[in-house]
Formats: sequence, C-alpha cells, structure tokens
Amino acid sequence: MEHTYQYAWIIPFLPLTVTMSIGFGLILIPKATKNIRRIWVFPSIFLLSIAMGFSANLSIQQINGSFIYQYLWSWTIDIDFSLEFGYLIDPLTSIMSILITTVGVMILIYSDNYMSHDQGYLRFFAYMSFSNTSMLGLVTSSNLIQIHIFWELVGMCSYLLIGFWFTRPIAASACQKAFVTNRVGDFGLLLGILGLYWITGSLEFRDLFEIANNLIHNNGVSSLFATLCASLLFVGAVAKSAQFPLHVWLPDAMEGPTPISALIHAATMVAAGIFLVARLIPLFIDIPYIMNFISLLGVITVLLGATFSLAQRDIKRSLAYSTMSQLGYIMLALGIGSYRAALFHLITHAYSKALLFLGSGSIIHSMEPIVGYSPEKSQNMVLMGGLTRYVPITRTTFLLGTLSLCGIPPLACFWSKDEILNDSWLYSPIFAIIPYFTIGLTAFYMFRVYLLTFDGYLRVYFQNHSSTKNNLFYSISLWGKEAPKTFNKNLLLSTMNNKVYFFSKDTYKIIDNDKIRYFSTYFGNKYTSTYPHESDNTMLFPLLVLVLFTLFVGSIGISFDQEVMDFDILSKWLTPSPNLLHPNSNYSVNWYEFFTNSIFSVSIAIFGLFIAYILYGSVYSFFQNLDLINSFVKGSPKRIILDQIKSVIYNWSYNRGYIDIFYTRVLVMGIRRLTELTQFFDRHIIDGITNGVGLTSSLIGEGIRYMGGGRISSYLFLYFFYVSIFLLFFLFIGINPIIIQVFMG
Amino acid sequence: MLEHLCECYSDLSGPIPCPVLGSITPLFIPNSRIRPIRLIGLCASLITFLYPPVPRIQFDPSTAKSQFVESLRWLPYENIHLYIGIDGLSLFFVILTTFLIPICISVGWSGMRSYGKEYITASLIREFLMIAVSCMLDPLLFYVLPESVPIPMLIIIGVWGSRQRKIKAAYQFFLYTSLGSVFMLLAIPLILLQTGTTDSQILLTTEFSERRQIFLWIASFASFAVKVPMVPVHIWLPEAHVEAPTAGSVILAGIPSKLGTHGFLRFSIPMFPEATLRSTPFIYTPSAIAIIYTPSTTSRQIDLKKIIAYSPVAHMNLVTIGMSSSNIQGIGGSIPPMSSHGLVPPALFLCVGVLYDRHKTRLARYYGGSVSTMPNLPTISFSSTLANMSSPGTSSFIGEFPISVGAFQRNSLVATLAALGMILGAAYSLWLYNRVVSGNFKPDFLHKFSDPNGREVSIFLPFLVGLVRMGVHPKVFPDCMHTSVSNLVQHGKFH
Repeated sequence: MEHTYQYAWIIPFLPLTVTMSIGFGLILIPKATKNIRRIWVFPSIFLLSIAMGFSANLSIQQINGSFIYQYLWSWTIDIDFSLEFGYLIDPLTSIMSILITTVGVMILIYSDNYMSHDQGYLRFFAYMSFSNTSMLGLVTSSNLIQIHIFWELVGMCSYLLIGFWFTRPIAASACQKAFVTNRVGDFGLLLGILGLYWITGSLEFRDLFEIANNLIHNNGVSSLFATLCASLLFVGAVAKSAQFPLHVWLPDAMEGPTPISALIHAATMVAAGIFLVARLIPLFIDIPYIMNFISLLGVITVLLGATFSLAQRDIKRSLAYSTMSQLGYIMLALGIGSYRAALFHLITHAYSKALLFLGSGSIIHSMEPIVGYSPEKSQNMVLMGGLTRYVPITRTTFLLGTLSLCGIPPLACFWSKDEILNDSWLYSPIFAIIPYFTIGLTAFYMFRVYLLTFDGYLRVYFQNHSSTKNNLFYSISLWGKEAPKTFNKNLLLSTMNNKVYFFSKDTYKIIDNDKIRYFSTYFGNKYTSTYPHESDNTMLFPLLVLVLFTLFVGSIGISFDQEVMDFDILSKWLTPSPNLLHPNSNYSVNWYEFFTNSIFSVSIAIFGLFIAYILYGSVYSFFQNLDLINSFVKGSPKRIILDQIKSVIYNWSYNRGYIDIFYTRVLVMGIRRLTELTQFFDRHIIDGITNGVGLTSSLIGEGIRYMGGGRISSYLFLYFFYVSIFLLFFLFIGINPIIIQVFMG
Repeated sequence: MLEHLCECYSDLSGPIPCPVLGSITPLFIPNSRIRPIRLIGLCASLITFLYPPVPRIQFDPSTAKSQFVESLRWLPYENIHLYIGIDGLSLFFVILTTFLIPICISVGWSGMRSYGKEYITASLIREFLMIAVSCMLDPLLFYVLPESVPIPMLIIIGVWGSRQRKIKAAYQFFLYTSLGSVFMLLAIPLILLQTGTTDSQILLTTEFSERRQIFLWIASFASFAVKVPMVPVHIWLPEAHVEAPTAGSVILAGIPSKLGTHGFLRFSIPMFPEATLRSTPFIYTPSAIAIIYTPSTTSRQIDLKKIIAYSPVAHMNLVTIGMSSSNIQGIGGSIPPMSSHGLVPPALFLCVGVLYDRHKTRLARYYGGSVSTMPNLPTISFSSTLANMSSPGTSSFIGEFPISVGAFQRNSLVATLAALGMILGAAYSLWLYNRVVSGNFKPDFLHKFSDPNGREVSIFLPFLVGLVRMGVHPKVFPDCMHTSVSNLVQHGKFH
C-alpha cells in the first residue's frame, strides 16, 4: 500500500519514455522507426494503461481511507531560496490522474485508426504522450513553481498539437494564437506566484495556505494586495480554461486533429485551469472578493459560450464553445464554494465531451471521402445531414453524449449539473437565473448539432455554395485567423442572407430524393465512395467504452442510502478536505426534494430540445403542412420581428460576439502601431543621433580646416584668446569646490 | 608523472597561453595550405576547451575568494600587478568562451574562403582576450582588456561581413564601445589616487566616500551600459549582428555582451555598494524600457537575423534588473542567464546561418513551410525558440525565474514589466518561427533544399545538450557560485 505512494512519481514519467524513444528513433534511425510505425502504438497505450492502473490503485486507496502523501527532493538550492521538486497525492490529484489516464488511453486507441493515414503518425503519438506526461506532472505537482513549469509545458504541447498540420496557414495561426493567449495567462500566473512568495515566503502548497490564511486572518497583509495576487493567479486559470476574456483561442484550437480536441481541448488540458483553482481553493476561500469574481466570470462564460455555439457551422467549433460554456459551469461551482459539485461536473463533462468529440471525429472521418479533406468542408455541418443511415453506431453514441450534456436524467452530466444548479440557487438566485437559462440553450445547440448532422438528408450539394473565398493561404497573421479589417456591413448582410437558413430552415425546402441521387452520382465519379461509411472497430471501441462511462459515471455522486449522509463515493473520495465541501451538502438526503428540484431544470432542457427539434428536425416538414404552424409563423408583422431577432442573434453568435474582431482591432492594431512607433524611434531617432554626431563632427572638421589656413597672425590671436580665458577663469571663479571634493575624497 | 600533469592543470597558465600559441603558429604556414591552419586552430581551441573543466573539478565552491590566483609584476613602481584568478562568478564565463570558439572555427570551416588564416588568428586572439578578461582581478586591466576585445571583433565584421553596410556597423560598434569606456578611463586614476594600487582585493576593503562612490559608479556605469547594452545606446548590437558573418554573430552574442554585466558584478556592485543601492532606479528604468521596447521593435523587422539580434538586448536587460535587485535571488539568478544566453541566441543565429547558406537571403518573406523540405532544422530551431522565450525546461528559465522573484521583492512594478516582456517575447519568437517553418511552402522563391548536414548537426548538438542540461538539472550553478554571491550580497551590506 505504501509502495503505491512511494512509486507514484513514476506516473508522469511512464508516457515520457514513448516520447523520448520515438524522438530519438526519428532523429537517429528514421527509416527503421517509420517502418514499424504501427507498432509504436502498443508501448504508448501499454505505458499509459500502467499509469492508469497506478492512478486507479491510488484512487481506490484514497476512497477507502484517504490521506495526503508528499515527497520532495531539492532541485536547486540557495540559502534563502530553494526550488524543490516533489509530488503530492491527495484526492484532487487522484481524481485528475484517473480522469487523464482513462480518457487518454481511449483516445490513444482511437487515434491509432484516426491518424493511420497521416504522415505525422509517429510525431502525433510522441506529442500525445508528451502532453499526457506534462498533464500528469501538473496534477501531481506539490508546489507552485512546479505548477508553473508543467503549466508552460502543457501550453507548449497544446501549441504543437494545434499546429500539428502546420502546412495549413490557419493551423499555424491558430497555434500561435493559442500560445500567445495562454502566455497572457502565464504572465498572470507568474506574477501571482511571485506575489504569493513575497507574502508568504513559501511556494509549497500546504505551508503557503497556512501562512497566507494566518496572515489574512490577522490582517498581516493588506487584503487588497492578497486579492490582487489571487486574481493574478486566477488569470492563469482563465486563459487555460478558456474563460471569458481569454477564451478566444479555444475555438481556433479546433484546427488540430480531432483526437487532440477530444483529449486536450475537452477533457484534460482545459481542465488545468479548473485544477489550479481547485488546488488553490483553500487560499481563495478566505478572500471573498475573489470567490465572487470567479463565479461572476463563470456565469459570463456560461452564457457567452452557449450563445456563441448557437450558429456555428463547424461541428467542432460548436462543440468547442459548448466546452467553454460547461467549463464556465465548473468555474461557477468553484466560485460559489461547492467544490464537490465542481469536481463532479469536471469528471462527467470530461467523459461526455470526449465522447462527443470522438463521435464528431468519426463523422468527419466518414464525410472526408465524400466532400474532401479540407476542414472547411468535412467539418461543415451544412454539408452533413441524414447520417443516421450510414453511421448508426456513431449516431447512437453521439445521441447519448448529447443527451448527457443536455442534462437528461439517467446520464452522467445530469447529476453533476443539477448539483451545481441547486448550489447556485442556494447561493444566490440572481446568479442562478443565467445557468438555468443556459440549460435550455445547451439543449438547443446540442440538439441543433445532432439534428443538422444526423437528421434529414445528406446535403453534400451545398458544397458549391460554401465559399472558400478566404485569402489566408499565403500569410500567417499575428493573431489567429485574420478578422476582416474593414468591417463591411453590406458584405455581412449579404452573407447573412445566404446563410440564414442554416440557422433556421424557413427558406429551406425539402430536398428531393432525385436531387440527392444526382449529386451523389456526380460526386461518385469524383471520389472513391458515394456514401459515408461507419468507422472501423478500433474507433468504435473507445466510443462504446466512453458511452459506458457516460452512462454510469454519474453514479459515483449519487447517494443510494438515504440514511447515511455522504455515503456516495465522491464524498468519501474527498473526505480529507471536508471543510471545502459545501456546508449544505445535505440537499440530496431527501429524494423527494431532489426530484422537485431537478424537474425544473430537466423541463427547461426538454423545452430547449423541443425548440431545436422544431427548427431543425425533419419532422418540421410535417408541420409545414399544418395551417396552425403556418399561420403562426407567417403572421406578417410578427414574422419580421422574429426574423430581425433571429438575424441579430445569428450575427452575434456567428461573429463570436464580435470579441475576436474587437481584439484584432484594439489589441493587435494597437500593438502594431506601438511597434511602428518604436521602430521609427529606433531607426530615426536613436540611429539618427549617431548619424547626426558623425555628420556634425565632419562638419566641424571641415570648418576647422579653414581655420588652419597657415596665417601666423590668426594662430597668435587664438592662442592669446584662450590664455586670457583661462586666466580669467582662475582669477574670478576659482576652482569649483565640487570638483575638488570629488577628486580629493 | 600523473601528479606532475595535475599540477600543470591546476592553474590557469594553461588556458591563457594556449590560444596565443595557436594564433602564432599559423603565421609560419603559407596561405595556400589552409587545411592544416584550420586544424591547428581547431586543435588549439579544443585543447583550451579541455582546460577549464579541470579547474571546475578542483574548484572549491565553499570559498568566495578567487582561486588559482597568480600575479605578475607589471608596473611595480606604480604598484600595479597582474592578478588573475577564478571565482564562482567568472568560472562559467571561461567555460562558455572556450566552448564557443571551437564552434566558431568549425562554423567558418568552409564558409571563410578568403583570408582563412587571418580568421583563425583573429578567433584565437579573441579567445585569449576573453579568457583574460574573465580572469582579471585588476580594474586597470579590466579597462585595457575589454577595450581590446572589440578590435578582433571589428576586423571580423569588417572583413568577413556580408554587405556594404558592414563598414558602418563596424564603426558604430567600435565607437560606441570606446565612447563608454572613456569614463572608465577617468575613473581608474581616481581610484589609484586614493588607494595607490589597483589590486581588487585591497579595493574591495576600501571605503570610498559617498560622493566619490557616485562619481565612480556613474563612470563605470557609462562604460558597462554600452556593453550590455542598455536602451539608448543599444543600436550597435543589432547592427553588428546583422552585418557580421554567422560565426561572428555567434561569438558576439555569446560573449562581448557579457562584458558589461560581468563588469557590474565584479566592480560596480562590490566596490560601490552605497552608490549601487542609491542608483537602482537608474538601472531599473532603462532596463524595463528595454524589455518592452526591444520586442516591439523586433516585430517590425523583416531580416531574420535582426529579429534575433534584438532579443539579446531584452535578455541582458533582465539580467541587469536582477543584478541591481541586490538580493540573493536577483544576483544569483542573474548569472545563469548570462551563460544560458551564450547558448540560445548563438543557436538561433546558427539556424539562420544554415538557411542563409542554402538560400542566400535573410528576408523573412521569402521563407515559409520549410518544415516540409528540411525536417530537422525546425526541430532544432523550435528548441532554441522555446529557450528564447524562457520556457521551463530550458536554460533561460533557470535564471529568469529567480530574477523575477528578486525583482518583485524590490519593486513589483519592475517585475511586472519584466514579466510583460515574457508575452511580447513569446509573440515575436513564435511569429518568426511560424513564418519560416509552417504555412505554405513557397516554391517561387526557393528551389534547392537540404537538411543540415553532419557537420552542422554536430555543431548544433552541443547547444541543444547544453540548453536541456542546464534547464533540467541546474543545481551546478548555485553549488558553484552560492558562496561568491552571498559574499557579494553581504559585502554590499544590502541586508
């Protein structure tokens, strides 16, 4: 038992060996390494499975009787300043590591098939294993400096993986944008660490919490400064977890291969910010302002993410905004102090979202042979539709994931989301309104994705309409995907007129079956296959396993026994930090109360779902014949207003709330102007002074040349002139006392 | 026999004359036989490289005194002697210098077609001067030797530079550095006037009056600030980097810019502690400006080499911030970046050099998607780019983190600005990397491709090993220099 703890340091290093050996293999013996490429998958999966076994063992021990284990060894030492490396095993670590390893193993299995035809197959596995290493290292860190190190490594992995297909300029810009945005967060994190070190003199978590809390309680440190440091630390979490002001990188990050999106941009890496806040909760909980700030940002993110997701055409971007919104829920839960609910939702969301992303990967895989390999086309939901027939298993799993995310009862996310909603309601009804409202939005956009993808008929022929008019192919911009510099309103409106029917199907006519056959035959000549096909078993297996998780992982948070409080596994898991559990954790004691609470949220979700069905479902075609609906929809004044509202929402959502445009215009342009200024200063003023001095000296030389004309009288005149000045100086002024002082000491 | 050898090894008489011998020998070989000349040069520099690890092993980290001290009577009637020795602060400079020179010689192995002999001689003389500077314990010599370092540098830029502008760059480089040291020349007689000697051991125990301290401090600051370089007088460095050949840039980035910071550490801080404490704002302000200013200027550059050339300015100004923080984290943290900085920009310059050798252009717009044609070079340049933005796990992080800690305790605003430089640094480094490496490949501009060959890869390898080695296991730095640094801090009565 002790042994598991002693050797727990090995967990992060297990996947590292794969990275190292692939890296050395590729550099030293590239040919041999590439020849056995598929074989490299086995060690990577195997080693990560060992890590999974380790963390499972640790988790079981933590559940049975949890205690905190810490081991340290010094890294560099000064007398006053020591950097130590160590690992800390506590409930939070065990939860995170089991999450990372299980999702990681599933995604590795999945990506074996997904990436099998890619040139960078080996590179992909090396990066994947490295990102697992750095993530596991992050969660086992025992001090802030180690957190900072792994934090940056995680960011670097994310950079590499987003830019995996670096020959695409969009991907190259996206990874740069992700890295720089995360750097803004790192900047905050670093300053926060420095500030905390200044306050407490320690970087070790437990010492730090103790000292900081003592100081705060005894007014040993000004509360303003403590709040400032805490919020700087929180900035790091904001960037990594894609919370409101710094969320812009996450949707662009979808340029990476889909397994990456599933692993690091849905399940693990974006959870790093949550992890940091959860880790520092003992510190934050004593500073009420920061807790309010966290929950406020959480609420804003919940709403923004959901609204942005409403009108995305790219399936992965839609899911990315959904991730952002769900992370907002978790942040909100942390901010209102319900630690348990936050971690619970973190777990359930990770499995559900990984399932959804892998499902979307399977869809993309099936679409690619038909529409082409550009993500503009293969991820475009406009071109999908009616995939139920072709990919039934993927469809079932995707549906389950969607339902889980919407919060439909027996599935995982329902339990955790309900807990968050309850807690937020108890905390403050004002805060709770937006999360409740967003439940409906979540159900709406998730079902929109589902219906656009699987319902109706295949709409491949829209391919000709979908514009690939971007001129991004030859430039890498400073800040992600270049937003239009001149914001042409007419252009936007015209595109809106073309595209509005993706948002709702008002002008959308039922597709003729003949038409689709015609187009399919047309494409059949061009491409190898006519219809989408179901993915291989290697890809379906992880999907099915994740479905199991999605179905049953909610049970760890349900207390089956009404008599004993906190009987559920999650509470037992978290026992060493009981003071962090929400004081009113007795909410689930009564099944009846629980039922009445949840019926409200579920009904909102079902309402959202219903709206999505009306707007996007194929059943709508039946309704169209009914006069009732027609008269309802076609009432002329109402209809105009409705359309206007719709177009406003559509524009807001499709343009991501204009936040990206704002950043491009204000920040990027501002920095560009600043750099122009400094460049001008450097070129013309600093260098100009040098040149000016050179020019003046040569001019003086020219001038003096005329003076030395060879006339003795002028030489004599100058001589006497200087002598007289010198004499006058000595006579009347004397030697300046300061100069004497300097030279005589 | 073995004991005798050890005795020979145990002092500094090895590394100093060795490059001198190496530079004299080629003079007796005719110009036509270039190969043996190069071999002799390489061997001499390699032998010199093998010397410093020995003092490193025998180095006693528990004392702050200079070790392996030797003295030479020079001007006995003026009480001026030559003192050379090593302590925890200068050990790494010696190792770094001897590490970089063999690399320079092998970089110029086939590139330097004209004046091959002179190139070897100039490199070795430069090595001699640099080692001597690092070991000198005497302020007078510390004036004389750093002033002679620019001479071989001037020749290298002026003779082997690539464009017509090189003449201007060489002038600028030379005039700027000598302008600063005029003030240093004024300060030395003043010191002699009070103490009657230039022995630094005596000087360290001398108490200067406060007014005189400030005067002396300003004089030495003027000299060192140009060499660092601090902001208003920085323009010579990018200019010199761009015009110098690759090997010249490597050595220029590696060593001369350390002269300024080394001077601060060895003279300004220990000899004039009160003046240092009082003048902290005068160092903080230009340094903080430089940290913001240079990355912004960098983003406007189009020349690959110039983009990299500005980054040393920002990094060295971070070092000066650390030094003037006057606490153990700041000063202790400012030494690793100096040696790490001898690895990072040189590695980047070498990457640009490889590209320039292939395509004969350094304009960023002609490059793109080079990863598809040369897979190994991006790997190397990515590692160096990471180090350039001081990502953890690389050598730069080891110093910059303690510097931030130290600076934050002294002045949190300066630490904030220094950390802001982190974002800007990442932005321009990544942008450079992305423009060259990723994106679409531009076949209109570039036709022939080849990955770095064996010679080039073997030049890169020591850099990469050094970067990671220092980043992952940095314990050797504090071990060696801790006593010196804490002695410095205590001597200055900063606490």
